[in-house]
Order: sequence, then structure tokens, then C-alpha cells
Amino acid sequence: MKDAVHLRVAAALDLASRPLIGVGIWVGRMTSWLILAVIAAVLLTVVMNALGMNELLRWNERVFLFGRAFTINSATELQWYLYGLLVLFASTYALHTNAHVRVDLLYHRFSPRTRHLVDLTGHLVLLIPFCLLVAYLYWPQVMMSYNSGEQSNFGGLTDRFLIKGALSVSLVFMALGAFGRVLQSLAAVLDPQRAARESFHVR
Amino acid sequence: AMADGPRRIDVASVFATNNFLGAGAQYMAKEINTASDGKISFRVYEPGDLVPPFEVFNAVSTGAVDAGWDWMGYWAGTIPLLNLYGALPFGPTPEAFASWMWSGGGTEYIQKAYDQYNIKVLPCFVSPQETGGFYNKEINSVKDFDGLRFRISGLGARVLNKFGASTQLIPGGEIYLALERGRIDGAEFSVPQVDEVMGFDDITKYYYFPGWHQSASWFSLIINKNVWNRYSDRQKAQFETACRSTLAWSMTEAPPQQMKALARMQAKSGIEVRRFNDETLKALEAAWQEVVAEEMAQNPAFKEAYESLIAHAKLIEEWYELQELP
Amino acid sequence: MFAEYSLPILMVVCLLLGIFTGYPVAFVLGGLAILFAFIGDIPLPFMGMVGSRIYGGVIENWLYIAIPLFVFMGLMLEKSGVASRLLLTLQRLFGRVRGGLAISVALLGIVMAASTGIVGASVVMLGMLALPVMLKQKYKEEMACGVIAASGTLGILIPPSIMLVLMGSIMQVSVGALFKAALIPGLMLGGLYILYLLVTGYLKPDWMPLADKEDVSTDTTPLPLALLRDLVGPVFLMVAVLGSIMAGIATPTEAAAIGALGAILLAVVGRKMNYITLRDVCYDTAKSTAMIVFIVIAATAFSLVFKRLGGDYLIMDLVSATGLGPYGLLLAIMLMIFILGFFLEWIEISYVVLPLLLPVIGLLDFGMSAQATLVWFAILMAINLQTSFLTPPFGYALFYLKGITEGQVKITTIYKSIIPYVLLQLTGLLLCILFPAIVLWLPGLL
Ligand code: NA
Ligand code: NA
Repeated sequence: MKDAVHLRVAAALDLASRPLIGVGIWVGRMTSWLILAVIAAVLLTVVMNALGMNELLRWNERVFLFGRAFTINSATELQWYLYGLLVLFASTYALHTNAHVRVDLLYHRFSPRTRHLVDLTGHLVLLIPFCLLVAYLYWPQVMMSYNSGEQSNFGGLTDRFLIKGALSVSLVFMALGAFGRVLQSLAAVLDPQRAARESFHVR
Repeated sequence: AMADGPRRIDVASVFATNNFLGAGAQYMAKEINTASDGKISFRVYEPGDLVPPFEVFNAVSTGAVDAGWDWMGYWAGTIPLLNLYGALPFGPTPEAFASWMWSGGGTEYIQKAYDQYNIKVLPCFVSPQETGGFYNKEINSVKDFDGLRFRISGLGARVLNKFGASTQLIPGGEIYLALERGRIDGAEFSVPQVDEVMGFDDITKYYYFPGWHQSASWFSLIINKNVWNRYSDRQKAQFETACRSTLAWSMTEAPPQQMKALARMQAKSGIEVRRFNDETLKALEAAWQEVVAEEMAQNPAFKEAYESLIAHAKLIEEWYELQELP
Repeated sequence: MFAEYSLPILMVVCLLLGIFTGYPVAFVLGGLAILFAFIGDIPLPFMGMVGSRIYGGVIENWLYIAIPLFVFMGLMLEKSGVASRLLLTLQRLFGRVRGGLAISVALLGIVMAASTGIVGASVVMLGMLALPVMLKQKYKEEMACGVIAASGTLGILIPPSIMLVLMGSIMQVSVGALFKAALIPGLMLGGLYILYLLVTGYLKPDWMPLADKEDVSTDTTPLPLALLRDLVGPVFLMVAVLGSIMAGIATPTEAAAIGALGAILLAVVGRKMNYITLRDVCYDTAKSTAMIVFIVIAATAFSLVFKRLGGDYLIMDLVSATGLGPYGLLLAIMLMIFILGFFLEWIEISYVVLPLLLPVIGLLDFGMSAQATLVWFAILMAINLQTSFLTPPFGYALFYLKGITEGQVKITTIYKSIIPYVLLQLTGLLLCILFPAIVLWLPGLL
């Protein structure tokens, strides 16, 4: 046996962290494309307004999310449905790409190991409890929105529970991502060479 | 006897308390304090202070906030019946509507709808008829609504849609600029007393009346039932007393204030006060009959309440006609 | 007197300690909210409001959509090469003027302020356009960062402004009057920035060096022609954004999308558009937007708990403890808002502190009409709150700027960069206090 136990544990932790981090990055990248849809939705609103149009299409059956018609207010509300999804899932992506703002007065002088300890502790004590508690406590409102069939009061989109649910789901998703980072940081703390060797955030 | 309920309850208002609509919450707070001999007091929170205005209903329902002070029409996306209480086009006057609420079963219909959300509702404030809105274009017939871009909510929007208007959602903070630059051709907001503050008169030409889309609108205190049920019967009666007193205040206080506000606006910005002509109003009413028929077909609860309200209002109308002096 | 306020005070202390560990600011805010909810024994259902505040205040509030749209526009411009070519040409133009580049950033900031009011969007866009070029030209880092952050905040003061709309409804003052009243003070502040840059350029030439001859001379096109060529794109974009607002085609939020489309078109025309470019712009837009919006999300949780623990009464007691005359009290209030601005967001101060102060202000006699007093006071508050975007440790403009530098610039550098501008803000505020006419002339309230 060449490796000491703590090195093998570090390797295992690192391995376990990879899918959690990987899926966070992948979903974040996929939802990033929504910005193009947001732009399209806003431009559609502008065009419909310029033409003095209220309805683009009307049909007979109730359709998921769109109800019975696509009005200028459907386009307006689509803007923030899409923007909401974009922002909520990009938060996790920003976590993995180290895009969240730090006051690095002291941080940039810390050793890699200390930095990992700071992040590790922060994720466990601050970020993960925040995400899980807010997601859990908001869930009754998601259910209420679903059960009441909450929809636009302006002839816009229906199925409000979708975007409300996305709030809780994305926060749990963020907690999972943070847990992945905790595992990775633990690996780095146990195996300082790993901390020196690897970059821990993607671009 | 039952034990007394909580001494202090948090009330999240959807309107700033220094405007007339939100001042109702403060007035009611004073009345409940008096009626309960200081054993119940409200802490009224400004909009957004606890939760954003549009989230008040859900927050009260789930118990995140004890109570809320609202315009009932805000929750029509959840309970479509509320369009009737929030903004009913060509509906009865505030007086006739109030009569239906307490002697025609109006409060029972809403309480039944609110029960499944674990909310006790106390309609305690009625605002007078709103205005027909601010316009930068003259409206001489319903043809002028074709292609008109107008900010309005509720069932009135669906009436305008029948004439080809594009009715839209503009966030409160952007209405001023949208109107000023002509992104929209007009906007309906509230009663003159409240509109005055928004400064819309500075940037539009015409202020149209009557507010056909909303003849009376109801505001209420909503309380989470887990909180409400902790109060004794005597205390519940105290709530009702304070509520009626607030209602009387809103009905008596409002009308003269509107005319004063209107005079101030005319003096300041020279906005032209106009009335839609009778022909236009008749056409709007005919379109409203179509909209209400559609709404009743889709929504049995609305149908039941609407028919009850109209039957009740007819009795009142007949009584006043019988008594009318030349 | 402060024993009963031990929890809110402790909360602020933990916040400061927390952010100086270097752990992300947003997560410190959110995490402390939850920790203190347990410490302060706040009932769980009350904490259910955090989700409602996020949904109603951040997601459903589609004024925020302008943030990703302007970020996208800025990134696309950068990738398309349009922005850098313009700045290179501006560099040729201003290459012989000390601080010329910084002054054009300030001017651009004023123009953006008149078209939108989203501080995050303005700072990010100015930063992405100008920072790389300024640093390349060997500007002192502090000089480059300061002008970007400060000019980016002008949008919250110069109309249109969400802040003034909100204040109007809280104070029951016409929004139109506030818009008019804010215009001259806003332009005056922009003018003060430019004045400062001119003076600094003269006194400290090496802080804002002229461009190297070699850098400038790579382009052999005659300057007027180059200027014409490189201005076409940006002017087209500016016309698209501002013009669509002015012509009544779009609201400010919608104009941001028109700008984004314009930037895409410029990239296509400039043959810089391909899958990789588009992908990178989308990815970076998502990251920057999330960084900005997640701070707002976490701050809303923090302030809810802070208030619930009595933080708002703490503030109130601090005011009433003074006992001064009209001007003394006004200065005390301004000082208090300034200090609060170090830690709180303008929206919190507007909603929490402003209503508490209104009765006090109504009673003060400054020798003007009640209406004029309110408008004047509102604008003084607005200038003060604009400053709060710039004051460390919680200056959101500073965080946004830090967010896009990708670790090139230290936050301490940004903190230092902003000091002169905070002093200029205070100068502007003092001028408006001494000469109310600056505020009251345009709305005709003199
Ligand atoms: Na602005
Ligand atoms: Na600050």
C-alpha cells in the first residue's frame, strides 16, 4: 500500500464530488441559452405593442402554460418566466465557476488549504442551510399555487406553480452543488498536494 | 369563555399607508384597538416590508404572515370570483354593493371561496368608482379603442379587447415613462386622490370619466384562520365592529376628497376632464354583457354570485325609483 | 439603551466578520439570516416569507430583466470587437488629452443613466467596455475603477429612476416633480466627476497616462475617417436603445432587449459571430446575472430577519436621541442615512427609514412650502442613497465591478478607488442643502 488512508479517502471524496459538480455546470450551461429566448420574448412584446395587437393566436383547447390564447401579456410574462429559470439555475453555475463576489482582502493571502477550509465551513454553515430552509418553507406556497390553478390575472400565462416550483427546486439543486464542493474541498484539505495541483473552479 | 387571542397581529398592507387606500388599514387598526379596549392591536407593515404586495394572499394562507390588507381584485388569478368584488364593469354603486354584501349574502360567497385557503376575510373598505383613465388620444366612439394601447386590469380589459384594444401589463414604476413617451396611449390606475401622486396628469391630455370598468371596489382584511380561531367570540365581534366602522369611514370620507383632488390637478397641470359620450358607454356595456356571459359560462361560482348581486341591486334601484323626487 | 438591540448589532458584526473571510458575500448574507432566525427564536412560518420575497421581489419583478439584457449587450459588443475598436479610436482622439478616456466613460455613464436606472447593468456594461482598455493604457487601477463605479450609479438618480418612483409613492409627492427635481443634481454630480478627472489629469499625469505611440499608430486610417467608421456601430446601438424609449416604441426594460439584438447584428455584420462567441456570451451573461441577482436574493432574507429582530427600531432610536434644530436634524438624518448606506440597500432604507422620518420632516421649517420641503428632502435622500451604492463594505456597484474583473482587480483597490467619488457625492449633497434652488428650480417649486 503506497497511499496513506487519508489520501485514499481524499480520492474517494473527490470522485464522489464530480457528478454533483458536473451536473450543476451542465444544467447551468443549458439554462444559459435562455437569455436568447428572453430577448426574443421581449422583442415579440415590443412588436405586438407597436402593431397595437392584443392577441397573436387563439385556440379552443386549454394548453399547458398558455391557456387558450397567446396575448401580448403572455409574451410579457414569458419574459420573466424565462428570466427566472435563467437566474435560478445560473446561481449554481456561478458557484462552480467562482463567479460569486468575494471580499478578497484577506482571502487572496490565504493558502489554498485555508481557502478550502473557509469555503467548506461556509457552505456547511451558511449556504446549504439557507438553500434548504428557504426551499422547504416555500414549498407549501408552490403546492397552493398548483392546487388553486393560480394563473395570470391579465390574460397572460397559466400554471404559476411552474415558476414558483422552480424556485424551491433550484435552491435544492444549489444545496446539492454546494455539497459537491464540500466533498471536493474536504479532499483538498486531506491531501494538500491535490489543492496545489488542481484548479477547483471551471471557467 | 374562550381565551383571548393574540394581542398583536402583523398586517401586511398592499398599499402604502399614507395613501387613502392603505390608510384604511391604519384606520381599522385604531378602531380595533378602541373596540377591544387595547387587547388587540395591529402592526401594519408597508408594502414589500414583509412580503411583496402580490404575495400577501399566499403568505397569509400559509401562515407566513398573520394578516393582510388588500384590494380583493389582486387575488383573482387564484380565485376568479374575486373579479366581481375587485372591479366589476357596470356594476352597482358602492351603497348598493354594500347592501348586498351584508343583507344579500355577498360576504358568504367570498368566505366560502376563501375557506379552502384557510383565510378569514373581512371586507372593510370600499373605494368609490374609479376613473375612466388618462388618455393622450380623444375617445369619441368605441372605434377609437381599436389598436389603442392601454394599461388596465381585470374584466374591463376584456371588454376593451372586444374593440381591438391592446390591454397590457406595465409595472407600476414604468407606467409614467411609458405614458410620457407614448409606449402606451393611456392608463387607468385608481381614484383621483391616488392618481394625483403618480403625476400622470402632467403627461397626458385627457382624464376620462366615468370609470365604467369598476363601479365599486372592495378592500379587505384577510386573516389566517389559525390566528382568527384563537380569538373568542366576543373578540371576533370586535373585529366585525371595527370593520363596519372602517367601511362607514371609507364610504363617507372618499367622494368629496376625489373632487378636491381633481380640482388640484386641473389647476396644476390643466388636464382636461372629459366624459365618454353616451353612445360609447352603451357600446361598452353591450360588450360587457358578452364578456360577463362568457365568464358565467366558464365559472359557476361567479355566475351564482353575479346573479344574486344583480337581483339585489335591482331591488334597491326600484326602491329609489319609487321614491325619486322630480 | 442598546442592550435590547444586542441581536441586530451582533448580526451586523457577524456580517462584517463573515465577508472579510473572503467567503462569497451573498452566501454570508443568506446564511446569517437563517442562523439569526434560530438564535432569535423567530417562528419558522415567518421565515416562509423569504421565498415569497424572492419570488415577488426578484423573479416576478421584471424590471430586473434589464440586467441580463444589458450584460448580454455589453459582452456581445466586447466579443464583436466593436467596443474595443471604438475605444481604440477614442484613445487616438483623446490620446493627447489627459484623462480623456476616463471622461468619455463618465459621459457614457450619464447617457446610460438617462436611458435606464439599473445600476448593476450600467456598471457591468461600462466596466466591460472600458476597464480592459483603461488598464491596457496603464491607467492607475484606482482611477479606472472609480469612474466606472461612480458613473454607473448615476442611473438611480437621473430620471427615469425606480428609486424616485418608489419614494414618490412613499412620500405622497408627484413622481413627475421628483423626476424634474433630480435632473439638475444628477447632471451636476456627473459634472463634478468630470471636473475631478480634469484636475487629477493635470495634477497627477502618471495616474492617467496618454496612450503609447505604438499602440495608437497601428491603425493608419486618418483619424476622422476612423472615428466615423468606428462610431457607426455604437451610435447605431445608442440610437436603438435611447431612440426606442424616446420614440415610445419601448419601455426602458424593453429597450435593453433592442440593444441586445443590435449588438448581435453588429457582431454578424463585423463577421465575428459564430457558435463559440454566442455560447461564451450566453454562459458569461448567466454567470454575471446570477452573481448580481443572488446578492439581492440573499439581502432580502438578511433584511427581513434584521428588521424582525428590531433593527429598524435601533435605527429610529438613533435618530430621536439627537434633539437638534431643523438644519442640525437634517444633517444628523443625512449622516445617519449615509452610515446606514454602508450596510443596507436603498430599497430597505426607503421603505423602513423614510416612513419613520416623514413625520419629523413635515414639522421642520426651512422657510419653504411643505410640498417644496418634501421634494427637496426626497432628492437629498436620493443623492445619499445613490452614494450607498459606492460606500464599502456594502457598495453594490463595487461588487458588480469586482464581479466582472475576474480576479484581475482586488476589492481593496476598488474600495480605494471610490473614496474621491464618495467625497464628490458629499460635496454635491452639501451644495443641494445650501442651495435648494438646484433641486427646486426645475419643478417650479421656488
Ligand atoms: Na435613470
Ligand atoms: Na454601501
